Amino acid sequence: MRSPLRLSDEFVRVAQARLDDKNLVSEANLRRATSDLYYAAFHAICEALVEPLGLHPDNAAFKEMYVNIYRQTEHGYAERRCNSAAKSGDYSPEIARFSKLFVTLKNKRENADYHPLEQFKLSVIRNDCAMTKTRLNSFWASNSEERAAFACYVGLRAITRKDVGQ
Amino acid sequence: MSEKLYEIASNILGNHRVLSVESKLEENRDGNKVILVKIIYTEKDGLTVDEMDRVLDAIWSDENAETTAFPVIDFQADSDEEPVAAE
Repeated sequence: MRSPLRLSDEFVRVAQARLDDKNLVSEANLRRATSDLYYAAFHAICEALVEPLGLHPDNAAFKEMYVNIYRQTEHGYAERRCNSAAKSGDYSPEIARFSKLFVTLKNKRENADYHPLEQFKLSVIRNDCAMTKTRLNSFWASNSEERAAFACYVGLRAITRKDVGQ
Repeated sequence: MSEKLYEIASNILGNHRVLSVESKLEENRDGNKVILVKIIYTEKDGLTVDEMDRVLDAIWSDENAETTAFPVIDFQADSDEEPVAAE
């Protein structure tokens, strides 16, 4: 099981390191930093999804369940749900702003990973990195019940009566 | 659309700090409409996260037809015009 250091925080640290070292600043590293920032936000949702479960590292069945729930989040579905969460007024400003950041970073990451003609600017990614750090800090400082509810809304597909044959 | 976005950004950041705002509508890989917004600001004044948040909130809450698309915003310094060389 993972240490208390969150993977989402590590992704932000890696992105920051790519931007801080002048010898590392290149087209490829700006693209990778953009991708790192998106995955920081993505993994934060996954981490929030399993957070209420606690940790039982010696229990194999628990580990299987933990991994399965952690991996439920789908990129496109999460984007649509974050868009709804950002606009619905149902969530606190911390969660609503995290949702907006997720949508932003997801689209930037797709260009970074797949668009060969897209140009990346150091100042833009530095600003994205500063915003991601602030948003993640606010996300983890927000009410834990609301965070869990948000993670379920964004990360788990709703099961309808039709799905369960009723 | 860009004029409206310029007005939003300059109302928050001040006219003297916002040099230009460009926008274009696209469809992303998941078929969702996205409005890509580039705000060029004067680097000497810098931008705080709080200022960027307020611009983002204002653009996200602007409910005209085109902003039903997901806003994706770049805050770019005016000194950062040269492309970074590929490795």
